[in-house]
Amino acid sequence: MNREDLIGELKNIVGDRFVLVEKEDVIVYEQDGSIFQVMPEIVVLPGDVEQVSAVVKLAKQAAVPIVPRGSGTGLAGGAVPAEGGIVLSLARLNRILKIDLENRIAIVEPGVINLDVTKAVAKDGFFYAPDPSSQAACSIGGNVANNSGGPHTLAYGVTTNHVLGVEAVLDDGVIVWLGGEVPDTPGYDLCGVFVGSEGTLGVVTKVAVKLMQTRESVRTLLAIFDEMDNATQTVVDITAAGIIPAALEMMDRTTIEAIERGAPVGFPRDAEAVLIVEIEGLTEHTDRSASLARAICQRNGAREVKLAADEAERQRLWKGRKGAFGAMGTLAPNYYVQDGVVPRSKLPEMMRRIAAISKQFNLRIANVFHAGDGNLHPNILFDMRAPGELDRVIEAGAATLRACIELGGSITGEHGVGLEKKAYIGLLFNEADLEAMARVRRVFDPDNRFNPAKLFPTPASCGEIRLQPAQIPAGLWI
Amino acid sequence: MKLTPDQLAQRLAAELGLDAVSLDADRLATHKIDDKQPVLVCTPGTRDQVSAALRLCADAAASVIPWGGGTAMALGNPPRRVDVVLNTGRLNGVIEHDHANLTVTVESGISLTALQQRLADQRQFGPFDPPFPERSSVGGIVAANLNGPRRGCYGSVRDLVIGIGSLGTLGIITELTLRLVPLPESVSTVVAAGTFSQAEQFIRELFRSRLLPTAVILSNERAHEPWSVAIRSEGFEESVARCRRDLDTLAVQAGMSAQLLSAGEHEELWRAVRDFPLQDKRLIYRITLPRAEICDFLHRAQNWPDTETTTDNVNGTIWLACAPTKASVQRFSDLATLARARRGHAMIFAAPGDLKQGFEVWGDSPPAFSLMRDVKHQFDPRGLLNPGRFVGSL
Ligand SMILES: Cc1cc2nc3c(=O)[nH]c(=O)nc-3n(C[C@H](O)[C@H](O)[C@H](O)COP(=O)(O)OP(=O)(O)OC[C@H]3O[C@@H](n4cnc5c(N)ncnc54)[C@H](O)[C@@H]3O)c2cc1C
Repeated sequence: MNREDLIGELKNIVGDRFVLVEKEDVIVYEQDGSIFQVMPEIVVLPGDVEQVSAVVKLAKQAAVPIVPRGSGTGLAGGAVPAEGGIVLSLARLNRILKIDLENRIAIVEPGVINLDVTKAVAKDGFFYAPDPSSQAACSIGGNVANNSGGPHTLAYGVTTNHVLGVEAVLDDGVIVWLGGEVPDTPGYDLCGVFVGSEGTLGVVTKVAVKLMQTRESVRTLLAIFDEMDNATQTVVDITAAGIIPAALEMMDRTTIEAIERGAPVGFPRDAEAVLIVEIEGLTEHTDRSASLARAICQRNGAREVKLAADEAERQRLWKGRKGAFGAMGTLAPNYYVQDGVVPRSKLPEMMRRIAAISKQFNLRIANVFHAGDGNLHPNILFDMRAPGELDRVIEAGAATLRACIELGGSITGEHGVGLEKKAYIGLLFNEADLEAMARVRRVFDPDNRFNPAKLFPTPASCGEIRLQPAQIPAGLWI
Repeated sequence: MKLTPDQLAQRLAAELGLDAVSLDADRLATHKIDDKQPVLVCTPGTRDQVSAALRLCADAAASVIPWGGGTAMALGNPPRRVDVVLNTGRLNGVIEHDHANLTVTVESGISLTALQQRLADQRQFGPFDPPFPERSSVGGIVAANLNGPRRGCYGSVRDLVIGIGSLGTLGIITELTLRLVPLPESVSTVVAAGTFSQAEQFIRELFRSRLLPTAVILSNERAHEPWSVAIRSEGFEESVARCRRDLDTLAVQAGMSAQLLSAGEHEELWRAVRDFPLQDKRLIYRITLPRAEICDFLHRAQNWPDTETTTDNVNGTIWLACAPTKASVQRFSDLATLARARRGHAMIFAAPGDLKQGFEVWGDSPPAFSLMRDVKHQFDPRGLLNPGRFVGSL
C-alpha cells in the first residue's frame, strides 16, 4: 500500500480531521518529555476502540509501525516514532466509563488524565493512588505502559499494583480483556505482563483501576539538614525502624536554590538537604509514627524538624516539592533528568557518587527525588548552546546509571526504558532474561509492529533521531 | 519417555549424585498427583542441578512436575502425564536477608515457617498466609499464587515478589526476592456474631468507616446461623485499641454481639481461615467477585447441605468446602453462572483426583486463552512441564 492510499484509508476510519500529515500539524508529536525528536510521518487520533482496532489492522496490512501515544510526558522517548509509521494518539479516548465506589473500581479510557480520576472521586473520600509528579498531564494509558510511580508509591505501590485489568487491541486488531474487574483471573497474568510493556505489546483501550479510600489523618514533617550524609542516613533509619511513610522525598541544596529563586516557599537556602516525611492512616497511627520519625531525624543531626500545622502549611511544602522541576530553569537554560534506583541503604553512598560525577564532568546536578524508594532523579543542569555540552551531559547520565547498577540497583525507577535506556538494558538483564522477554513479545507482536526500536537492545535503524531538551510545560513536577 | 525409568535415574544420578534421585516405591507413593504416581523423584540441591535435571528430562522427553512442600498439588486439572517429580525441598536456603531494605532473597524450596523464623530475629516477616505454612514452600506459594486474607493490607503474592530467578519464565522457580514488613507491635481479633443480614450491614458500615482492618472474614458452619465476622487489626497498641472500640460500636449498631478473642483463640481462628482452601477430602470452590457482591452471591448460593463457607470480604473471595461427591461437582455450572453475572469467576480450587475428570477445574476459558496457549508454547514447546494441569489443559 502506498502512502497516499494508507492516508486515504485512515481518513475513512477516523475522519479527515483526525489524520495529520502536514509538518505544522505533526510537529507537536515529534517529541515527548525526553531529549529525542523524530518528525512523525502520520498522526492518527481515533475516537473509540473500534477505530483503534481498524487502524491497527490497516497498519498490519500496510506493514507500518504503530507508536501509541498518551500525553507525551514520557521521559525516555517511548512515544517518539523512531522507525516512522503511525503515531496513534489515544487522547480522544478520554472518558471515565464507570465509577463503582462500593467495589472501589473505576474503568477509564487510556486518554483520561491521571489526576482526573482522583478528582472524580475525591468528594466521596476516594483517590487513585499512583501519583506521578506529571499527574496533571499524563494519561492513564501512558501510566500503564510505563508502570509509573510517584511520591506515594512508597506506601501504596506503583501502577501495576492498582490495575485489575486492561482491554487491549492486539496486533491483528482483536480486542481482548486481560484480567478484569476482579483479581486472580485464571491463567497466566497477562495483565501483569502488559503493564510496563511500554507500548510494545499492543494498544491499551480501557483500564480497570482500583480506588482507595482517603485516610483519616495525614501528618507532614519537614526536616532540615546541614549534611547530605545525615539526611540520607535518616531515610535508611526511618524504614529500618519499621515506619512506612506514605511519602519520603528529598531535595538537595541546588534544588532548594532553584525553588527559592523561582516560587519561594521558605526552604532554608543554606541547608544541604531537606526531607519531606508524610504519614497517613488512623490518627493514632500517624501521631506515633510522626513522633518516631521526628526522633530519628533529630538523632541524625537535623537542624530543625517542623510539623505542618495545618493543611495550608502542608500544601506549601508540597508546592515547593512540586515546583522543583519547573524551577530548574532559574539555574540553567537546560536540564536533563535521569532516573535510577539503589537499595535504600545505599543512598548515602550513591549521593556521594553523584557529587563525584558532578565534579568529574564539571556539571551542576540538582537532586530531587523519591528517597524512600531509593529512586533518584539527578537533574543535570547545562546550556545546550555550549558546544559538546549535551554529549558530556549524556555521559554523566550514563555514569549515574552505572553507579546505580554497581550498588545493586536498577537503571530505571519509574520512567521506563524507551529509546533512552535500551543501550543500558544489557547491564541489568542477561541473555536468558532478554530472550524470555523476546518470547513474550513474539506472542503478542510477531511482526514487531508496536513501538519498534524501544525497550529491547536493538539498534534504531532508519529514522533520524535528533537530540533536543524538551520544553516541559509549566506546572509539572518530577 | 524415550528412556526407561532406570536409565533416566542413572543419568540423573551421574550428574546430580545418587542421593538426588529416588525410585523407591514408598517415596514415589508420597509424590502422587491426582492419584498418578511418578516414575521417579528427583531432589536437586542447587540451581545448577535443577538446570541439569531439566535438561536430562527434556532429552528423555520426560514430563516434569515441580513439587515444593506438596501442599497445593490438588490444584489444577489432573496432569496428562506424570514422569518425574522435581522436589525443591533441598533448595531451602536464605541467600540474603537485607533487613535495612526490608527484602529477603531465598531459594524456592524453603518453607514459609522456616523463613519466618529466620526473619523474626529482625522483627520482620513475609506477609503471606497460604495454607499449611509449615510445609508450603515459598516457590510454590508464588507459582500457585496462594493469596491469604491479609492481602488487602499487605499486597498480593505478586505484589510482594520483587524478582524471580527461574529457569525459563514458565519454568522452575529457583530463587526469589521478596518484600518484607515489620512485625506489628500489636495484633488482635474481634468477632461479631449475628444473623446473615446483620453481618451484611456490619460489613457495609465497616467499609464505610476509616478503619483499616488487615483482614475481614465472614463465615458460618454448614449453612446454619449464626454467621460470624472476624476482624483482624494490626499496628501500634493505640491504633489496635482504637479499632477494637470502633468495632464494638459498629457491632452494637448492627445488633450483633462482639467478642475480643484471646491469643489462643486468635491463633486458632486464623489457622482455620488460612488452611480452609486446602482441606483433605473436601471439594473446594473458589469464587472471586467484586467485594460488594459477596453477600448477594451467598444469599443465592446458600443452604447447601454439608457445605462450610469462609469469605474474605476485603478481597472479594468466597471459599466453599463441600462434600467430595458428584453432586458437589454438579453445582459448578450454577456457581459459574452466578459469578459471571457479577463480573467474577468460579473455579474448583482443590478436589480429590477422581472428581476432577472430564471438565475444566479452572472454569470459564479466559478471553485471552489463545495468547496463553502461545505463551506456553514459546516457553515449553513440547509440553513437558506440568502437562495439562493449567487453564485449558495447557
Ligand atoms: C515533569 C514530569 C514529571 C514526571 N514525574 C514522574 C513521576 O513522578 N513518576 C513517573 O513514573 N513518571 C513521571 N514522569 C514520566 C511520565 O509522565 C510518565 O511516564 C507517564 O506515565 C507517561 O504518560 P503519557 O500519557 O505522557 O505517555 P506518553 O509519554 O505519551 O507515552 C509513554 C509510553 O506509553 C506508551 N503508551 C501511551 N499510551 C498507550 C496506550 N494507550 N497503549 C499502549 N501504550 C501506550 C507510549 O508508546 C510510550 O512508550 C514525569 C514526566 C514529566 C515530564
